[in-house]
Amino acid sequence: MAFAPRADSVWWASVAAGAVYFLTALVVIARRISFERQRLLLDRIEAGLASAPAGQEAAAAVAGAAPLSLLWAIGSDASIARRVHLSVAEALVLRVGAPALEAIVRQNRRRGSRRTAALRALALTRAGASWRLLRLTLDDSSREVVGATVALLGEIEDRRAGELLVEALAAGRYPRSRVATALEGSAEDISDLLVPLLSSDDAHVRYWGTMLIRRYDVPGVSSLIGTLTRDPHPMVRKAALHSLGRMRTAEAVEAARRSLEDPVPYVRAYAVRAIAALGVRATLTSVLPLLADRDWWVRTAVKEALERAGEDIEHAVIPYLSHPDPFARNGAAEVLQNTGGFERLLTLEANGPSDPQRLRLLERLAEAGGLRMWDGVLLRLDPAAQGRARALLTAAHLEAGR
Amino acid sequence: MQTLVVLAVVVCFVYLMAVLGAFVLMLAGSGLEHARLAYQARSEDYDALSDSHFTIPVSVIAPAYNEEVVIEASVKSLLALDYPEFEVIVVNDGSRDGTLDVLKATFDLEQREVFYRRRFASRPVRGVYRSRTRPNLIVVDKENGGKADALNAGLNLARLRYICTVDADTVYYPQALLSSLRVPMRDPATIVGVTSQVTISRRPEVGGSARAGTQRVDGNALTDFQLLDYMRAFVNNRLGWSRWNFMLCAVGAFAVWRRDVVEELGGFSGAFTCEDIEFTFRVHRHFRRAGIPYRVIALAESVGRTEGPDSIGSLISQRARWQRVITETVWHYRGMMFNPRYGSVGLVGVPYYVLVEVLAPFFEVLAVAVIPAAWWLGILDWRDVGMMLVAMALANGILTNLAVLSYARGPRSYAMRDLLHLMGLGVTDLFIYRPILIYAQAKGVIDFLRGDKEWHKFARNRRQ
Repeated sequence: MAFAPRADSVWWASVAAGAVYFLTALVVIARRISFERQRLLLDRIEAGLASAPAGQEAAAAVAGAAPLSLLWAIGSDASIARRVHLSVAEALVLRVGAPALEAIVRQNRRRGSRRTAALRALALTRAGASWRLLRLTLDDSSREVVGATVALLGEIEDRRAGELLVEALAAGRYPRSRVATALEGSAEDISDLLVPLLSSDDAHVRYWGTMLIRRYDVPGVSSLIGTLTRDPHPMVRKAALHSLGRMRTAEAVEAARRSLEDPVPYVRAYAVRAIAALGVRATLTSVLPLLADRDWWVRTAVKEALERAGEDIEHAVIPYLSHPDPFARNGAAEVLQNTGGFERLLTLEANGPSDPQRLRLLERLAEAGGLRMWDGVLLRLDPAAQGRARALLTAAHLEAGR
Repeated sequence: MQTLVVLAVVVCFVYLMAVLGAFVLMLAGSGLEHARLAYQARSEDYDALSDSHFTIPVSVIAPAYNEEVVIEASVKSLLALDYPEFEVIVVNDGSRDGTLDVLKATFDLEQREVFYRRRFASRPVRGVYRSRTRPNLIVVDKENGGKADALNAGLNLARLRYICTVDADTVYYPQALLSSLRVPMRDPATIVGVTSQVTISRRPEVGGSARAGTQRVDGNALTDFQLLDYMRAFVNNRLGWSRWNFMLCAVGAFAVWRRDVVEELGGFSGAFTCEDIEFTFRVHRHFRRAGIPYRVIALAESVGRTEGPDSIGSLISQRARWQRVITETVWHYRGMMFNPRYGSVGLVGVPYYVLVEVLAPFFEVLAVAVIPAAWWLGILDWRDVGMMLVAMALANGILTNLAVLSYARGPRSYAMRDLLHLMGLGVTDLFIYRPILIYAQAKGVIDFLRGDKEWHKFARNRRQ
């Protein structure tokens, strides 16, 4: 028929499809074999490293004798342990040569894995112009290459790596959160590089400087961060509070307390968290009025902070069971439930002589917490106490609270 | 009669060519995207990320309905995720089996009253439970209201900046969150959603922790066909959708959304049979209308193993539902089709969906009917038909091999004999698996026309 595909074209289509099918199957098999070889090589390098006393030499010998294609593949994979990378890097520098590796890195049109492997080999062995190349690839037009460089700089324990990363952070060449992650793991003290970031004109830079500096015990930094709790940008105020929580100074406590009145809800929430982290009981009571905050995030932060303080804070929470704001009443009851205070009161009342003051308190808890809170607490009591607690509930007309 | 049959054969042939063309286009896009993502993943320092204080906290929400068999393994896998800050909210959606009892016993739950914002409507919550042993686990027990309703109940309790919706019949790998969240962490302002693929297993709670290169497939033909189906869908198609920013289905088994986007869009809709495709369409419509730059990203990595039906009846029930969901969503959002206002979503994504998914059952059923008729009437030679089927089977085999290729060298790599088994299975797909899907899809369209909105959960696979 005129419309039907010609018999020979159908036959050829089948032959072509068959050929491509077998070709792709061969590629799958080849890749699988290559994967297996790479895995075996990694195992042998690891075994070499583990062999005392000359582990590094044994590993270098294994890497030195391995096919180059496998070394390229391993060299580009950041998930492999650093000690293995070092053996592979040395083998690549030895066999390919630093100038050839530099040439591969400079081929800025190539985004391939080989470029990353060459860069890693140079950087880990500090061979050739590795620092200049790292700076070059940080400015690369490909985000993937910049990302690989940032991750690589994070692996290198050298102050110069920190300098390059701080530069990248300030310039915003790559998502700052990722640069900060690379900086966060740095074993070097780079606090002097971070302090200038706190006074940057760019709020994002101030933010990340504040987040990163908290790891270091730098004299005077606490007061500097304290001033950032008054920064015009709420994001920076949040970061300052986040960092202050780790600095147990009087300035930190004062700055956090002041921020409880910040107009931005998430800053207030972070002020609460900072106060909780500072762990000063007297200050913790200052977050209690925020149980009535109009924002759910702030109320949640307050409840979490109080619950973490546990039994210590219960007496300060109890007055809030009669607060005019229903959120505050609910919140206070929830806190007493989660600190175990409610359960303890009920157990005491069920197991011993009745106390009118305790009964009144239970009544207030019933009103503030509602039926389900009662049911939950009752379930947690032992069976005998459960029966008495239920009888008590009826006798004292506490169901009214339901 | 003969003219009609000739016409039908021509129409089927044209449709087949159009679908092949669309597949080749998506394959090209997926290949490029896969290369980019693979390079990115190989350059990533996961150790630094997993220790970082600068990762984005995530609330994982797992709706569960009658999952007593797998819930323990699923929740344990979620709690074992290698991620700095996350909470797990399991929502028991009125299960009629022992799901809640298993959770209570395994995780030492106790009922707690929690005062929270009821920002999203849901069926009444019967109780909220906290674990004495796992502080980041919350279990919500509520009346049955469907998956979207359960997700909304979980959203009300979620505290963190990103939401990850998962299935409670899936067992997740420890790297699932880290390997997915690393992407929006690069550009949280633009990337509003991320999805990743899951692999299929008859019993996801068993195995899966074997080292790379020794992973095994089920060995059950039906679930292995489904495994290939998932692989092809993700690796050959969805990566291409993602590259061109019309990723139209962030799968319910694993989707990460920016919380503010979920809130702004009013949560998940119970008006559709399934919530995942509809929500993804809604996200695209919202951002395209507002003219705000955004991306919904698909990743190639497998994040876990989910239970695939091991009986033909259950498979038909599941796939009929999927077809119904696709059809009802595309019908609801038909205004986006060929509408330049919606950019690549309107001009490529929705038409592609219509061509490859919505229209497929019509043409497949037509082809099944007219090709034997054409042969009987002497219009087609049986040898030509046979060779054409062979060519199509091999083409399907090629697509399968290309999908399997991504597994041949990676952390989830299968043992060599299993890779060979999968590649062999790919060629037979057309004759064994595809007819079941054609029937299921046709059933799904009929169910859509009848207005069926039920979930029709497939019967749990038998455990020995």
